[in-house]
Amino acid sequence: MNTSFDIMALTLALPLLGAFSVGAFGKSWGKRVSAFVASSAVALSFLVTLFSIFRVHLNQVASTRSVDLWHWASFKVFDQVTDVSFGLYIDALSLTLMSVVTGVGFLIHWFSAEYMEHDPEYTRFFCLLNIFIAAMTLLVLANNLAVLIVGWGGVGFASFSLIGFWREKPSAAEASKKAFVMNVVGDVGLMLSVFVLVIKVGVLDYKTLLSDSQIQVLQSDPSTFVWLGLVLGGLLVGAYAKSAQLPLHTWLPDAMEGPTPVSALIHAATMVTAGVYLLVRMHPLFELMPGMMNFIAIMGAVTALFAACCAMVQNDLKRVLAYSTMSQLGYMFLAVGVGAYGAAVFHLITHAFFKALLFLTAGIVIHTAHGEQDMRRLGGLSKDIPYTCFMFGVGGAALAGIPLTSGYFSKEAILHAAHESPTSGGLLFLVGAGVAIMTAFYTFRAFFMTFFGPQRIEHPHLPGGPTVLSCTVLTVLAVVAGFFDQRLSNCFGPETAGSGFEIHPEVLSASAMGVTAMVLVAVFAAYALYGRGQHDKLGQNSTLLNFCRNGLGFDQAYGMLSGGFVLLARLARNGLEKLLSGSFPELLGGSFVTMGTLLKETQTGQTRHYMVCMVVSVVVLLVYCLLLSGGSNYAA
Amino acid sequence: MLLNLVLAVPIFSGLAAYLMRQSGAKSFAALIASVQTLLAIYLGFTGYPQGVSYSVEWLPQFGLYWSLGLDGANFLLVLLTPVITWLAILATPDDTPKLASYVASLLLLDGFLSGLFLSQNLGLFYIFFEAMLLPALVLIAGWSKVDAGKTALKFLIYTMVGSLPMLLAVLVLFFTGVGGESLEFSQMTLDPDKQIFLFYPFLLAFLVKMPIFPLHGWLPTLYKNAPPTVTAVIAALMSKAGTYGLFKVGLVVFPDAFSEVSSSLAVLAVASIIYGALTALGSDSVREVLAYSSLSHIAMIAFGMASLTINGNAGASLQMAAHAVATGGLFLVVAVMDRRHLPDQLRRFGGLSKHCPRLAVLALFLTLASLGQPGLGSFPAELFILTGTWGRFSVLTVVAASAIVLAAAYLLRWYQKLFTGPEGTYRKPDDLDSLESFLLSVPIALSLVMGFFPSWFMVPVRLWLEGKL
Repeated sequence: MNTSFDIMALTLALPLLGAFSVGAFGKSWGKRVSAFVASSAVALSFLVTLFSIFRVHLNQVASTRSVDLWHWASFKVFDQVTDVSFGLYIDALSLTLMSVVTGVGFLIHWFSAEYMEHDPEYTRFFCLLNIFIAAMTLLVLANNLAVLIVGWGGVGFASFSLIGFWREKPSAAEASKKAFVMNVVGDVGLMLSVFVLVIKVGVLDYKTLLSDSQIQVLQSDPSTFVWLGLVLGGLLVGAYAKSAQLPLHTWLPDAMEGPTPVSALIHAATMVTAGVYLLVRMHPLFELMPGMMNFIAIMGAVTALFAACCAMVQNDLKRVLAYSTMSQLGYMFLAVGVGAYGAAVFHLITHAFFKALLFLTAGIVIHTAHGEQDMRRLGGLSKDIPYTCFMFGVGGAALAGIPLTSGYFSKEAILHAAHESPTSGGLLFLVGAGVAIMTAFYTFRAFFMTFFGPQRIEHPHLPGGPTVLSCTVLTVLAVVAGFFDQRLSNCFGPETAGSGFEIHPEVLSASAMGVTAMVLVAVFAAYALYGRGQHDKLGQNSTLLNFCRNGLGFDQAYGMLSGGFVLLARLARNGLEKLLSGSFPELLGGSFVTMGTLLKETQTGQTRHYMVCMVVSVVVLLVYCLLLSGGSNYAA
Repeated sequence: MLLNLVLAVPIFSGLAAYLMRQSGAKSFAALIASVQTLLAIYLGFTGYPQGVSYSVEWLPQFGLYWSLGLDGANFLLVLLTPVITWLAILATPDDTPKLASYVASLLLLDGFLSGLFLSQNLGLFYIFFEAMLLPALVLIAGWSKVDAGKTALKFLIYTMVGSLPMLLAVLVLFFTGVGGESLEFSQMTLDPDKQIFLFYPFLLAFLVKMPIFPLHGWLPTLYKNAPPTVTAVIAALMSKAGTYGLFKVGLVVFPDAFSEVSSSLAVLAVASIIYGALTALGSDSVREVLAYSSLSHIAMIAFGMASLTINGNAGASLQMAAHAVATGGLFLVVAVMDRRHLPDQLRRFGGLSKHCPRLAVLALFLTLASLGQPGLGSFPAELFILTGTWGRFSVLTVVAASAIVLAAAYLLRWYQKLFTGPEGTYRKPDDLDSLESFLLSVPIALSLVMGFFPSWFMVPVRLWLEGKL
């Protein structure tokens, strides 16, 4: 295997270097320098990514290339060797995602520099943020499934550490463990795909695995479909766990225990979209099984609807946003399922901008309100922080899909694709449209409850320059990103046409107009219901509302499952194990001691007794030997 | 010739150290272990990847040769033995009573283990397999804080039950010559139908030594009562005498018998994986959780071997090293906690990260190394093991893979009970000093290297496995 180097490897090295230096020297450097080092590492990564994109644009390098940095390991099944390299796969998709990860990542670093200022563990925070960026970079750039899992596990670790960042809080520790264990379920799913692929195909790197010739070979072999379901199922488990899709979603609402910039970076803009990335990356394999594609689309729609229902009744500002993230990810899976990969990636990008913006502005709100996150106790903040109110409004408009914002274009693209889809398209479109209307309503419910009505916060703590500036950049992006769709596909050249970057949102179709009108109605309805600080009916405590608010019983189901395991564990430890390592060995020991005392009796001191014993032993030994060696040795 | 030094240096220095004064003994032992490490690294690199060997006649009329060899099977263990011993010696508290004898016994154990791993002759292998019991028993009986006698006796009885039949089998091979002219691993040939009777005694001895469910009765008591630095060596290295024995003796001397029992072994291993995971989840003791996690992870090694595939066995070999590093490291964490007189019950803990931020970070990485976090050594090992087993036992593989989830659950529970949440009831400890930080960083660094460059560690064993499976 020839190894080589590509400048994109720097995007991996820079944040790692940042994490290491901040982790090792951050304490002596102080807060300012640490934040500067960590942010610069990500900013430089972003510049390297841009540089790579320009090089592709100027035709200096191939637009799709696979670079092997070093040899990682080789599988061998009979004579079939699977070489796995630690390598990078650089194409339109990975470069696009890299620019989002490092671009939004940098903005959030910049935001956090001021936002986290009063935290005593400031340097640990930045060290972990940089580790996250490095792991996410590896996830996006890995050129094969095995190394993808390394990045996949890495972001899981970073997510775990950052959700549980405030270590004294038991709820944070519990939430972080939940997220980690759920993500390990996903890792195991991916590992399963790797086992099957290694044995059945012997290829793990994307370049070969997803090449047209390989796909044709798979397609022409009927035995493929016996095992392909396992591969795809494993990938789906991984994607669902990482992207918080039903039924592996329960960790995401709890993940809001982490600091708000973490929610913005990891649990909205980047990590949770890894599942979408994986499916888009692996789409040639999924397309071999149309049933699987339908399943993805339907599950996406169901998740979108489910999360929207939960979001409607939340009282915690961050949990509204968490459920909305889950719901928007459902849209992306829906898009993947109907084959609209371009639309899925487009929505991934716009979502990264507006959801990061929403979380960051929500962070400002929470700081302003001295840590208050319950929307029923917020209100009237538009007078204290009008500019933040404006930015949150822009983010909310994009999330709701109000015309001319980025979210409008990307959501329309998905709804359009769902509408055009030949299989169950009508229903998927209807669900998607319904969710869009619900989204508009709950987003603006949150907006009006937080910023309108009577002022409830005394002595608000006003945000400083960097936080507002970084949000401003995101605000601009949340508006203009919608106009990038065509440029996005042009920028990578015509070769990438196959990878799904042609989007033609027919924004003027009749159904789209209808949805848009309904969305606007929903916004006005939210204003009518919440615009003047009225009593909130959806925030009340009733059995049904609480059931929805707590995620429709999934948490209880998982709680019972883990409770069952714990019970089993206690039984094993205090039941069987007491026997195996307690009573049984003691019995054994006791019998040995008894035997010893008995044997002491045999020490008669009389030679003839010893002689008898010796003869008997020798005879026994000889018979055993004879039995084993058979007669043949002696005959010869 | 240098091969002899790898074991002669620790054995003779160990014997000398018994006579030394208490003050200098620890530094002397650490120096010896580092010399041995350098020797092993030198040999490892010069012999990479085929290995080196050394052989002289000893009692040729009985087929007994003094033959040692560094090969793909033992490559990683020979390198790691002195490293782990070195860490354990340095982590031993200075106020240990009879410090000189303590470190001397550790050196002896190290020497015998190195001898065991390097042996290329079954007779020699047997001698070291039994010899290492001596220093281990001395350490357990002499320095366990609670129930020293009982712990040692339990361990002794279990080991004896395992190794007496093995002695018989060795004697049969020794006297009857059914295995060919000599007891050299490379020259032994047994009729397939005669292998099974002779293999069972070996198998029993190895399964007890690992240990594997339900033969693990000695494990929780020993890991709980023995001094943590001794446990680190036993858990990291001595348990590998069992897995390594299975690897070497099983694959080389009794290949047919090994493949005959492999399915049963796989079932036993998976039972052990799940059982260990469950008991770890149900335990309230800092050390016991690690003991049971070791039970579970060691069985993963056996499972990989039972697959009879290159992938499974190469993964098992890497897992031996990865587990040695991770578990050794975790017991060093216990050692530094022990030095601070912290309790053993998990329920008394909480919030340790506030007092010991450095320990919290290093222990987290070691926990991750143990639970198979991608990027650390156990991940490629488990990936290879389960890829190997998938081809033969797909259902068992899924069960074993689900134990990875359980491992995440019980190890994180362990970690979080110690380090997060509200403060527990214990005397507030100091954070790690720089030596301790260094000691805990070494296994993490090794695990990272294994996680990112597994190929380098697996090439020798793959070469060695060629033609054997």
